[in-house]
Amino acid sequence: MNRLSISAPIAAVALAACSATVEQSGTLAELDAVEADLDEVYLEDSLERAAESYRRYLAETDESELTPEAMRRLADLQLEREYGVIGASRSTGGRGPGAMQAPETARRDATRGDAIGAHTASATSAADSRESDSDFEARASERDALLSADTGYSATLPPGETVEAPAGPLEAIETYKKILETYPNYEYLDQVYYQMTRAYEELGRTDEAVEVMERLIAEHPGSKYLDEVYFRRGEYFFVRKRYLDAEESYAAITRRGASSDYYELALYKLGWSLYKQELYEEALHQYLAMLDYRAETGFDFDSIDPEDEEHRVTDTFRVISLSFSNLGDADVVNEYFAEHGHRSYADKIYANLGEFYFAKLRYEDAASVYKSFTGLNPHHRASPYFSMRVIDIYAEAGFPQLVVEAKKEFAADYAIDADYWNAIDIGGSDEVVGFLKTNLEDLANHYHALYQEELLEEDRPANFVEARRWYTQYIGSFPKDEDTPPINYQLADLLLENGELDAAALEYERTAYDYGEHEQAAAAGYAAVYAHRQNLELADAAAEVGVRQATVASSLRFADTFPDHEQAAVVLGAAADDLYGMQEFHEAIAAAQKLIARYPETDTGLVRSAWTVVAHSSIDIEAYPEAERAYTNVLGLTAADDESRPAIVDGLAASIYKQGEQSLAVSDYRAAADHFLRIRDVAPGSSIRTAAEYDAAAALIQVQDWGMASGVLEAFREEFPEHELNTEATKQLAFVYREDGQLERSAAEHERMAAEADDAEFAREALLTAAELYDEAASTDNAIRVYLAYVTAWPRPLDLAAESRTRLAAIFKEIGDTARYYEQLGEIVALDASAGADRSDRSRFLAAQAALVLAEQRYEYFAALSLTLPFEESLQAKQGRMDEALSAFEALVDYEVAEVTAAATYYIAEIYFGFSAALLESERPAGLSASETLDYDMALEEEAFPFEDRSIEVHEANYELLAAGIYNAWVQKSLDKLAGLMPARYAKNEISGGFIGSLDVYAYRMPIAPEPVEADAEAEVTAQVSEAAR
Amino acid sequence: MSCRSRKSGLRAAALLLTALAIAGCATTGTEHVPARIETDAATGFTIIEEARIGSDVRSDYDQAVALLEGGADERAIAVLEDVAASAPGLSAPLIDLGIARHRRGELEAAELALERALAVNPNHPIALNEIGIIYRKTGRFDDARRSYEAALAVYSGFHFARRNLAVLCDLYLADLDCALQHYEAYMQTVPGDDEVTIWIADVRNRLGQVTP
Repeated sequence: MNRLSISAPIAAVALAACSATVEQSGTLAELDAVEADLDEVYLEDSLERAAESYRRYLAETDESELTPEAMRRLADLQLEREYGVIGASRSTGGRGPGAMQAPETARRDATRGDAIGAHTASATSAADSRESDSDFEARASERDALLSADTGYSATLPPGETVEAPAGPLEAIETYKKILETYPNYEYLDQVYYQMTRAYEELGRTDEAVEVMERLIAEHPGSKYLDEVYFRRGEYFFVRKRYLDAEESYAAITRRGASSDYYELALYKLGWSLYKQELYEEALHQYLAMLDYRAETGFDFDSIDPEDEEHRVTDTFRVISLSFSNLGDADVVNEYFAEHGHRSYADKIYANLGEFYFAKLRYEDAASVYKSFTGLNPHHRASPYFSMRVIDIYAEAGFPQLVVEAKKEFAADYAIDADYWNAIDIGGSDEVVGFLKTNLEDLANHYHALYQEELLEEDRPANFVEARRWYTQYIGSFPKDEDTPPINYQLADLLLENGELDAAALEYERTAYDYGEHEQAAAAGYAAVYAHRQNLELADAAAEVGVRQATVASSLRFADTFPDHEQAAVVLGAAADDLYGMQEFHEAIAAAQKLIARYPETDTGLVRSAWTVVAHSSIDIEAYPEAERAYTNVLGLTAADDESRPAIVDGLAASIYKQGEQSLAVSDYRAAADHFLRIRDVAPGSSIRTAAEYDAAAALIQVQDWGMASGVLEAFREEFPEHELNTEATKQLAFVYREDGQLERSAAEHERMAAEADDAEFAREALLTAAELYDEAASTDNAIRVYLAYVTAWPRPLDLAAESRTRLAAIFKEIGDTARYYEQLGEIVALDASAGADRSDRSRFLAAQAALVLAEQRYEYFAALSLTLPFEESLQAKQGRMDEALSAFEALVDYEVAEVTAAATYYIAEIYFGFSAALLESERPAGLSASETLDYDMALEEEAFPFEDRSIEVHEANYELLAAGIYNAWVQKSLDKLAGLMPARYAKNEISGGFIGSLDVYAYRMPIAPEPVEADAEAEVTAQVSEAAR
Repeated sequence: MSCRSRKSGLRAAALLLTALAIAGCATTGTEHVPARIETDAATGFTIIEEARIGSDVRSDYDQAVALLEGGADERAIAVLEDVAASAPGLSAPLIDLGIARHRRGELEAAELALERALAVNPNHPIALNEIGIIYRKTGRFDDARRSYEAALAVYSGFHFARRNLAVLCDLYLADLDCALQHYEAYMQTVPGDDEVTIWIADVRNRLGQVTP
């Protein structure tokens, strides 16, 4: 209200200023564009009051130079009151009548052809398949669309058709006419014409309007309204299909150049005018000129929003498409640009044309257009979109093979390493990269599917190669993409299906481990293991080791990376088994222990198998305590009736046995024995148990625990009477008893050994030892029994037989069994005498000793007989005994044993001496007189002395053995005898210095030394010279 | 007072003083004084050994000597074994032990005891002479000769070894020159030995020499 109250009073005052305002901005177009006036009542009231003020002015004021102005303004107000404000605040922005409300048009579904994206969406928005070309032509070229909005000013009224005329405009027309007539020099006559055309047009009196226009054109060629008037004139003709006239009108504007506000609009309509005349190429020139103008004025072709923007640009693209389609096939567009110059926005034209064809179901043409562009502009930003659009088009058309080919081309042209990306920054091309991913995936899947198609058996190799190629390219292109793991997984599947197990396994591993955590990682890890295992089954001998290593490595990695996978325990267990098979014992143990620690609740069979690996491997690395523990666990998990149980028991026993051996190696025999004996309790059924117990005894022997050793051996022999080590046990037992001082028991064991031995020599030795042990044990009867058994059974070896008989003889002598003593001596002599070639120094020596004793018997027999009466008889007997004795001793010389020879010599000398003495001491006949007795004695002496001399000779001969280096008791005895017989010659003995008798000082004084000057009886110490006892 | 014994004649008082001086040194010092032999060409030699023993040991030894003199060899041997164990650095108990065992016919044990004595005092003429006799009796004539000669090397006038060496040469080595030489040397120290005078005549006779 305030605004009204102010504006009305000042209206007249500010008239000049108002007119200036009208001049600057008031146009028909603006009038067209006036918006709904919400203050209509108020405005109407204000306009009326303004008009009234002009009327009053005209009525009350004298005619002046301001009168036409007031009249015109009054007329303008009348028009304004009827048809709206002229020159409202809206600005055309230099575009003339451009700002039109976009009509509600059906747009192409944005989701359709999604691969096209922004680059094609803007260009295709107007190519509405639901708007026919004719509808489009009608809409896009109609006047209404260009110049009217919500007023009655409409070019769409049929020519000649009018509406009921209101009074105001008619009054205004009259006023305008009056001005023209009355004031021909009025400064703003062109404006008056202009307003009249408007009034006529508003009233539907278009012919009259055109007439006024013609007058304006003719009379005011420099008018600022000329462009608009030309344009309205063109529209007038265009509506009436007078396209040539319209062309002329529009061209009048375009010739004026871009300075005209109607330049662009004129170009547009000029194009249409030509188009309607089927002058398509000429029409294209205009459309492109219009777009060029837009491009020059900074229009952003990439930012066309079909919802908000005027239709003109999009419509232009469509009509361009129509034009090209009318000119020929898809190549026309290339040719056109080749001839008339390339355009920066050409991609929009191609896109529009492509979509135009597509809408017409002309798929090949559509694709061809797009491909033409990409062929000419391989590095254009739009090219990948166009390529995608080609794919869509083929898909829409139902050309699957073409789709595939197109996708392959796309994949090649826009591969990550393609030349394209040398021109275009890939960083800002996420969408294109997305297309690439999609296509690669599609291609891979496509060929993979074909590969799997049973009907395409023959093509399988080729399809495999293709599928692998695209999978590989995908993975290589997007190694870190979150979508890549599933693709990699599929590649692995493909390889697996194709039997390339090694490669499949590697791809599964890559899928599992190279992408961080993802949904399929664990499954891929397991698949890798599976592929390796399949590969292993097929591997030949040369490859097996390598494949198995790879299998194990993959398995361990799987188990460590995906410990919660349901198959992790199984995989780990299999790896442990393999490692054991590969003799990688430490690793096998580690894997098995991991299984045991990590999956204690898993299948018992698995855990048992793992413990088995630990057990066996520990044996191999000589970790026997660990092996024992593991075998114990295996046993705990093994059913009583399990057929593998005996083997496990044996393993357990072996693990303990080996600990025993280790203890032996460090000479810890006690610990070794403990281990060996443990087997009896822990693994009584083991096959090694017997050996262990035997070894336990041996170890106990080492620590000289004779009591325990003998106990073990006795138990062993009792429990395993048929065991092959029984004989050895007996030997050990014999040894143990002997060492333990239980000689008689040892002897008994030796007897047993002898009896049981298969080997004769062994039996002989054992029997001899038994005899010796009995002897040592003073078990005389047993000693005699066994020695006799021995010498009876074993006359050879000769020496041992002779020794044994010698000992036997000694025993008999000790127990006073003289008869058997001499019997054995005789046996010894006989043994040696009959030995022949077997005779040895030892047997000869022993026989000589025995023979000496036997000879001594003869000597004693000789010595015991005294010569009695009757002398002759007695003498004969004595001589007989002497001969026997001499013979016996002389025979001893043949043994050539020095000591025995000396003894024999001594005895021979003694026999002679004894005979001499016997003669001298013989019983004298009774009744001899003294002289007879003297004679008798002398006669005896004469008989006896030669024997004494002979005795001396023989003793001296014995003594002379000294010169041959022989000295023994018998020589000394002969010497002693000689000392008695020839004292001056032989009774020469040594003397001893005598006892010292003093601890500190010993003083020797020669017998010839003079007596001490100061004799002190107390202090005198002299040597006691004493004769040494003989 | 000097710990070094005086070189003097066989004056008992002087010898006793020397022995006491050694004992005094032994009790006051730690220096080991080895056994030593002092000789006098005109009279004989004296063997002095440091006796670091208690009175009980000395007493035991005296008892053993008395037993030997009384012919109680077996008991004497037992005591001497104890004394020898208590005074291992002294040769006297070992020599007496050797002689006692020899007298009992225990040649091996006797030899062992004498070897122990010689280990203490390797040049002890009495021990050398005693072990020489045992060597002869066990047929080791060369060893016997070396022992006698070793004793004589200490003191050539040692008549026991001289006579024993002569007998060895006479009866066991059949070396009459040797026997004659030593019998005659022996006679230099024991001029009144008629027995040996006869033996010399025997040897000369066997050598074909005319007895002077």
